[in-house]
Amino acid sequence: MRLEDELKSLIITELKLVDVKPEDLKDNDPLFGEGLGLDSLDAVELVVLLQKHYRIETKNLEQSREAFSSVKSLADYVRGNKGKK
Amino acid sequence: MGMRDSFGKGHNPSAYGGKIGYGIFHLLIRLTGPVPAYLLLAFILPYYLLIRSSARKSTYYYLRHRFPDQGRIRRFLTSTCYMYQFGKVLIDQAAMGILDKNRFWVEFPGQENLYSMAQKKRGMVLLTTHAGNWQTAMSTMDNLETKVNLLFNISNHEGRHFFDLSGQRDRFHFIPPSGFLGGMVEATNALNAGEVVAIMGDRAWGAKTMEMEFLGGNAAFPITPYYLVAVTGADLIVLLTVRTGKLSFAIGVKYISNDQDWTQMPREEVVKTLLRRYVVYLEEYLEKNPYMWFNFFDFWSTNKKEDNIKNMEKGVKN
Repeated sequence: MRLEDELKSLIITELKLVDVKPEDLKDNDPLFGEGLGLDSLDAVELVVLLQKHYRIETKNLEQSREAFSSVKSLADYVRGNKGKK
Repeated sequence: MGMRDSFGKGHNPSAYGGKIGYGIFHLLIRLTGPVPAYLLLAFILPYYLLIRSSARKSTYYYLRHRFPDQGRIRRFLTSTCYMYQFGKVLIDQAAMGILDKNRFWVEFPGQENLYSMAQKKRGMVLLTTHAGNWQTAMSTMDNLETKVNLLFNISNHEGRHFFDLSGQRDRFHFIPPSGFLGGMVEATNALNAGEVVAIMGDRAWGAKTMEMEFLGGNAAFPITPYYLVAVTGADLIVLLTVRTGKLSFAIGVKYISNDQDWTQMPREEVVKTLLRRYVVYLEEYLEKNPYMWFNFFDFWSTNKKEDNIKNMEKGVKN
């Protein structure tokens, strides 16, 4: 399974998004605001999701800002940071 | 005096007097201590009660809820006591930044227990409120070995004033609520690292709110602190202070969530449960200390208006 698709499923499951299917999400759609419409509280869930499933921390705010912009950038962030801890 | 941000868009009793009044009080505290400043306060109070009546009226939002059966005369007298108490707290607050720390008496019975809880590194959300003197509670965090983060806008008046005067700005890491995703990424990371995150329980700052009955009316409270606990499993502690005399404060600790893991429960349920516990404790506190609530605006409608209407429509996720 592509990492992007895995992340889409995880986001939908962990954030308990109703009426959203993985295929509805485009890789480059924004996660917050326009697009999927996540908010600041969802960011709490995302941070924990990354720690729980990939053991990745998001301490660098600039990198987090970029990573949280879309599913594709989140996947890139996971690929780039996996196993670094 | 400086608690301008306790007042939202309503009238602010402490904002009157301007820089000159502020300077006079500071000079008086520095030269003679707090007692002459209390006397000066008593001397100028009638002016604000009788002539600048908007200050007095701003106290009525709360007093109508706390003392719903009072008539006009009784309410006027209660408002006088209330404003005088508030003025004394502001003087003490300024004195904390100006005078030697040894001149203050802070009674904090649960201090050791709180410190040992923080040492467990489970992460701790420390909930404070514009009641009593929250800055006193923060000043006791000096001895905490764990890093303390404040979800707080340091550029606002009350924060800048206190933290600069008391030299405590460097002691804390400030997370601006207006920053990236409301500071939630930083706050979550801090809790996951076992640190302390202090949050004002009575300020939404544009974040989602939930309505809860408070002093006989529905008020909207921010849900951020409870949501953080629900997701990270951190502890949740409320600190409320009471002015007990001249330069003297007592700090009460309430363990809202201690060693409990809420992470597998529906978020909305957790948020409701924890918020209710906080509001019940707040009501108990105000029952005993009726003149310690320092939000001089219509707390029962403010968070429901403007951007929060949009936020509330989205609700809390399960």
